[in-house]
Amino acid sequence: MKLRGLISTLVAVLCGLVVLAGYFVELPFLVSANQALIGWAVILAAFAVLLGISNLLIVHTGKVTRKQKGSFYSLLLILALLVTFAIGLLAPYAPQVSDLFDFSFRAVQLPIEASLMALLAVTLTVASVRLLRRRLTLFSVIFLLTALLILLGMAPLPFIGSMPLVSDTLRPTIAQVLAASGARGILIGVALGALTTGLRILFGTDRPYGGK
Amino acid sequence: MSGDAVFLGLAAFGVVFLTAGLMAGFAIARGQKTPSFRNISAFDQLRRAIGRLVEDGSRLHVSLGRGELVTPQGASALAGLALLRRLADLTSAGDKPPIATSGDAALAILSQDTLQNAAENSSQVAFDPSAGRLTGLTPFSYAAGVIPSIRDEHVSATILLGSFGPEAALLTDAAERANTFSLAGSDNMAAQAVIYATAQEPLIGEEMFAAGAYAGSGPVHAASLSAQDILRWILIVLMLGGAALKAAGIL
Amino acid sequence: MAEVRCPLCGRINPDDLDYCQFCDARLKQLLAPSPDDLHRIQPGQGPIKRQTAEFEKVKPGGNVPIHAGEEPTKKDTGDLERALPSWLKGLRGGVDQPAGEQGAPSTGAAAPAASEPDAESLDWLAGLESVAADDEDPEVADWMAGLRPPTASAPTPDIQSAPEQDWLSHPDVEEPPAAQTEPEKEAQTSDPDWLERLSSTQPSARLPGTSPFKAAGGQLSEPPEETTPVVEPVPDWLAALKPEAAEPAAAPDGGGDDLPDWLSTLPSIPVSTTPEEAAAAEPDWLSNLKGLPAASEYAPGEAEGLGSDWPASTGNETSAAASVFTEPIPAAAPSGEVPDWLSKLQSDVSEASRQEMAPEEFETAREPFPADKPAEVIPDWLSSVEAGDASAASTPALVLPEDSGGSSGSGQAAFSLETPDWLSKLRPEKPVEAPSSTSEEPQEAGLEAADLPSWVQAMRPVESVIVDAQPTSFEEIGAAEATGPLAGMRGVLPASTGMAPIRKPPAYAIKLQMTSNQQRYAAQLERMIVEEGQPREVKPVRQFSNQLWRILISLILIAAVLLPLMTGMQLAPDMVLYPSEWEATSQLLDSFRPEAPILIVFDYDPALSGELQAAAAPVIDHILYRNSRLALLSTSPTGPALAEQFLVSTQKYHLDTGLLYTNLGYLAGGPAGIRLFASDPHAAVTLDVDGSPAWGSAALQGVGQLSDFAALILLTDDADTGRLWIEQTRAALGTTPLLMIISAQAEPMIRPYFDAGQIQGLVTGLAGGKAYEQTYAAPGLARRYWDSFGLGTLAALIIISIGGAMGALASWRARRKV
Repeated sequence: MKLRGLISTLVAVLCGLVVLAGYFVELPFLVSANQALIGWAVILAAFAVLLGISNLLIVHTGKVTRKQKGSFYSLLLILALLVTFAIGLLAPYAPQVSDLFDFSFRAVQLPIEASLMALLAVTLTVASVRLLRRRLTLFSVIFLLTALLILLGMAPLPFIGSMPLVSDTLRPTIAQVLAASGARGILIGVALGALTTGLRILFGTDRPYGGK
Repeated sequence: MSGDAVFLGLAAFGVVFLTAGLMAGFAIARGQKTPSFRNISAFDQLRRAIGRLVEDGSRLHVSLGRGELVTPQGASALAGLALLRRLADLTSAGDKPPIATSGDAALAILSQDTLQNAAENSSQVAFDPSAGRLTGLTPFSYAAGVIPSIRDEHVSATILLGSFGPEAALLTDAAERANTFSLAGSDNMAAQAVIYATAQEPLIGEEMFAAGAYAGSGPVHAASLSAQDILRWILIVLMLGGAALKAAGIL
Repeated sequence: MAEVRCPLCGRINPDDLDYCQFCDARLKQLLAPSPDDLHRIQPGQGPIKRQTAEFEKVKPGGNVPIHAGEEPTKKDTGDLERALPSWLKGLRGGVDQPAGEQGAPSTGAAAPAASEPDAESLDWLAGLESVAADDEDPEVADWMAGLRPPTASAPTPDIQSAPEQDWLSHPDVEEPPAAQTEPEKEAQTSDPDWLERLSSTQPSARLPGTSPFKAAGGQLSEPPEETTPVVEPVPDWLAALKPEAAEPAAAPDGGGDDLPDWLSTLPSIPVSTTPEEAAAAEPDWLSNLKGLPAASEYAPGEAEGLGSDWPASTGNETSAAASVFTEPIPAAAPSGEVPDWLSKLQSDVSEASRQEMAPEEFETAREPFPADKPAEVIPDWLSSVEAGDASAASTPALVLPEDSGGSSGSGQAAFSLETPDWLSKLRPEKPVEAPSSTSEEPQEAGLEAADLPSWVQAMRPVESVIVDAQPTSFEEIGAAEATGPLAGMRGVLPASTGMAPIRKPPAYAIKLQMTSNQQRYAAQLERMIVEEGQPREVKPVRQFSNQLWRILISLILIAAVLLPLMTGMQLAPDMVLYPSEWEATSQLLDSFRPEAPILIVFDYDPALSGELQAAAAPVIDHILYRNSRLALLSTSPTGPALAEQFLVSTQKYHLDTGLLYTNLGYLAGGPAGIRLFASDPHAAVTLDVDGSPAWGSAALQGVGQLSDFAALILLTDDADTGRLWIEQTRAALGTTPLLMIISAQAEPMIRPYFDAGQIQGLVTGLAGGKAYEQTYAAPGLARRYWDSFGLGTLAALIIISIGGAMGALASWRARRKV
C-alpha cells in the first residue's frame, strides 16, 4: 500500500470510529470531537459540490472541444451553468438579479423536472404494459395486480368517486399492511447491508479512496 | 440521557460489535475460500454481459445514484463503488474503459479515484478523468445527464447500483432503448418498484449489497454477506419472539 | 463342406462358389495367389497363429531380407548404442562381460581372450553369431552343439571336441577374467538380478575350463576346492549325477540308486554314442524336444517356475545333451506336442519383456551380484542349474514361436516393436546343409538389398520375421515388399491395378437407419445450422411498434390529464372518505398558538412540486391564518428556491398581508447537518438566503434552539429523508410536534412512524391535501388537480389492464410455440 493510501485509510478509520463511538458513548471529548468532525464533513460536502460542478464543466467542455455527439447541448449546458452561477453569486447583492434567479428556476428547472416526472409516468405505464410480455412469472402477475388495485383504490373515479371496498378497505390494507410490512422487511435487509458496508469501510477493506 | 436512549445505544453498539465479529470471524475462518451462495440470475447475466462487452469492445457504464456519503444512502453508493472497482478490473482488457456517473459530487470524486486506481493497476488503459462524472444534483437532472452517456458512448451494459429514486426508470428505459444490458438495484423502495418493472435484471432489497461478494471482490465481502444472513435470522427470531410475548401480554 | 470366407464382406461361402453369394465379390482369384499373398494380414486382423512346425519347413529364400533365425548383417552400430534398450545393453553385458560383473580385475592374460569378441565387432550379436554358428568354436558348449538341428555335416565328434570336457565336469578350471570396456560396464550395471545371475555363469560356458567362482571377487588365488560350496547344497543324487554327466564313460553307473528311474538312465548313455544309438535310447519326449529350441535357452528365472526337480535335471542333462541330443530332429516335428513348460517359457519371455518396459524397477532392485557368494544367494536346487544355464546365458531368453505356448498374449508381447536381435533366432534351427561356419555368407549377400542395421531389421513387424511360414488362411492378402526400407512388410503399399482382384463394386445401402426422433433432431440441427449462417434480420418494425405504443399511451394519458384542466369540468365528486390520519392532524393544526414560530422544511424535488404543493398548500394556509411566523429550511440545494416558489404560488395572499418568514436556505451535510442543526441551530445556520443574519430577523425572534419552534413541518417525497429527520431531531424537539406532508409514494414507509406516535401529524399526497382543502380552505390546487388525477389514473389503469393482458397472452403463446 502506498503511503498516501495508508494515511488516508488511517484517517478514515479513525474518524469513523470516533463518530461511531460518539453515537453510543456521550463522553465530553468524544461529543466535541464528533461535532467537529461532522462540521468538517459538512464543509467538505459543500466543497465537493463545487468540485462536482467543476467536473461537470470539464466533461462537457471536453465534449465541445472534441466535437462529440451532442456537443451542442454540452455547449448550452456550459453557458447555462456559467450564467446561473453568476446570477447566484450576484443575487444577494442585487434584488433584480435575485428575481432573475428565481425566474430561471421557476421557468426552466421546475417545468423541466416536472416534465421528466410526467415522462416517468408514461414510462412506468409502458413498462407495466410490457412487464408480463417480458417476464411472465407469478411475482410479475402479483406485482401488476397490486399496482392496479392501488390505482383503483386511490383514484377518484369519474361520477363514482371512491370505489367502495377497494378505496376504504383493500387499498389501505395493501398499502399499510402488506406493502408496509414487506417494505419494512426489505429495509431491514438494506440496513444490514448498509451496516456491513460501513464496517468494511471502517475496517479499511473497502477503500474507495487513496488507492488499493 | 434517558434510560431508553442508553438501552438503544447499547443495543446498537452490540449489533455493530456482533456484526464486526462475525465478519472478521468468517473472513479469517474461510481465508480465500469463497462460500457458495444462492443463485441470483442478475449476477449471472452480469457476468455474461461483462464477457460480451470485453469481447465486442464496447463500454461498461456504472451509475452510482445520488446517495450522499454522509447519509445512510451512502452505504448503497459505497456498495456501488466496490462493484465499480471490481468491474473496472474485469473490463480492463476491453477496448473502452468504463464510465461512472453519479448524482452526488463527493461520489463523483470517489468514482474518479476508483477508476484511476483500476487503470493504474491494469496498466492497459490510460485513465480518462472524464470517466467519472457528475451529471446532476437533483434526481431528474441527474437522470437527464446520464441518458446521453448510455445512448452516445457505445455502452453495452448499464449497471445502476446505488441510491436512486423513481427516476431510475428513465435510466433503465434508456438502456433498453439502446439495446444494452441493464442491471439495477437501489435502497429506495419506490425505486425498487419501478426497477422491477423496467430493468432487465432487478436487484431487490439487500441483493445490491451482495454484489461485491458475487462479483468476487474478496473474502471480506463474502464474510459480510454471511454475517448479514446470520443477523437476519437473529432478527427474525427476535421479532417472532417479541410478537409472541406481546400477544401473551408479557411485553 | 469346406467354406471360403469372402475377402470383401467377410462372410462364409461354400468353397465351390466362384463369387460371394452376398456381395458378388470374386472368391477365387483369377491368378493363383502366391504364398506371399496368402500370408497377408489384413488391417485389423490379429496375428496369425502358426504352428511351430511351420518354421521347420521353411527354407529361407534368397531375396527375403531377413528371416527368423537368420543372423543379421554385421553392422557397426556403435553410433546406435544409445538407442538400444537398457535391458538389451544389460543382456549384452551379461553375455560378453561376465567377469566384469563379478568385479574381478583384469589380468593381462585374460584380457585379450575376453575382449576378443569386442574386437571383432561392436555388435554383441555378432559375437553371439559366432557362438551359435561356428560349430568349431571352442567356446561353444558341447551341449549347445547338441541342441543344434542335426545336420549331416555336423559330425558329432566335432561337437564334443576340444573343450569337449563339460565345465561341470571341471569346476576347478579357472576362467580368465575378461576385460571390460566402459560402455559395457554401464550396461552391466543395469542388468536385473536374474540376468546377473545368468551372466555369472556365462564364462563357464564360453570358456570351458575356467571357474566362475575363481574369477569372482578377486578369488583367483583360491584353490579349486573352494568351489565346493557351490556344489554342496546340491542334493546327493544330483551331486552324484554331475560327474556322471560330465564323465559318462568313466562312471556310467554311479549314483543311479538315488535318481528317478528315468534319470538314472541318463548317465548310462555314453557320450560317444552315435546319434542313432542315442535316439534309440532316449525317450520319445526327448526326441520331440529336439525340435524345439534348446533347453539351454531358458532364462534362469524361468527355470524357477518349472519346479524344483525339473531344472535341476535339465541342468544336468544339458551337460549330457551333447550325447543325448545328437539325433537329427525330424523337420516336421509335431508342434502340438509342445509341453507345458515350453509354453510357460514363452510367458516368462513376456515377463522379461514386461520388465524391460519398466527398467526403473530393475534399477532400484539391481545390486551388484556378490560374485564370491553365489551359493549363498542361489537356491540349492538352482545352484546346479547355474552351471547348466551357462549356455543359456549365451542365448537370451525367448526362443519360442508365438504359438508354442498357446499364450497369444505373451507371444504378442514378445513381438513388440522393440523386438531384439536375438528374436531373429526365433526360427528353429534350420536344417543346415552347409557347415555353419559358411552359413553367414549367403545371409550377407541376401541382406544387401536392404541396407539396414541389424537392429532395425530385427524391429520389423512379425510378418517380416515369420514371412516364410506357410499360409494358414485365405484372408492374408497383400504383397510383401522385396526391396527398399519396406522390405519384408506386407500391405503397406497399395497393390498395382493389375494385381487387384476384379470385382463388381458392392452395393451398400445408402439409406441411413434412423428413428423418427433422430430424423427430427437432425432436421432441427440442420435448420439451426442454416439459421446460424444467415444474417439476422433487424426488426425495425418491432421498434417502431414499441415507439408507436409509447406515443399512443402518452397521448392517451396527456389527454386524460388535460381534459379536466382545459375544460374545467368536474367529473369526480368531492372526497367522502377522509384519510384516517385526518382527524389527528386537524387537531394538531388547531392546537398551534397564534404567532408561534414554525419551522417548515422543503425537502422535495422540483419534479414532485406539483403533488407536494397541492398537498401542503391548504395546511400552510391554515397555519398562516393564525399569523404564524415561518422559518424555511432545506437540505436540498433546490429547496430554498422551491420554498420561495411555494409561497409565491400558493400563499400570495399572506405574502401581500405581511407574512413574516425567513428563508434559512440550504443546510448542507445531510444527516450530519440535520444533527448539527438540531443540537445548535445558530451554529448550523448563521445567514439567510439574502445574506442577512438569520436569527436576528423578526420571524425568528425568541428562537434559540429547535424546541423553541411551535412545530416542525416537513415536506418531503422521500421516505429516507423523513426517517432522517425523525431520527436526528427526536431528542432535540422535545415536546415540539413533528408533522409531515409527504408524497403518496412515501406513505408506506412513513405511516408506521405516525402509527407509532413518532410523528404527530401526517398529510399524504393529493388526497390528503384535498381533504384539508375541503375542510379548511377554499377550493385550490387540490380541487383543480383532483379530476385530472382521477381521469389520468383511470386511463393508466385501463391501459395497464389491457396491455398487461395482451402481453401475458403474447408471452404465453410465445412460450407455447417454443
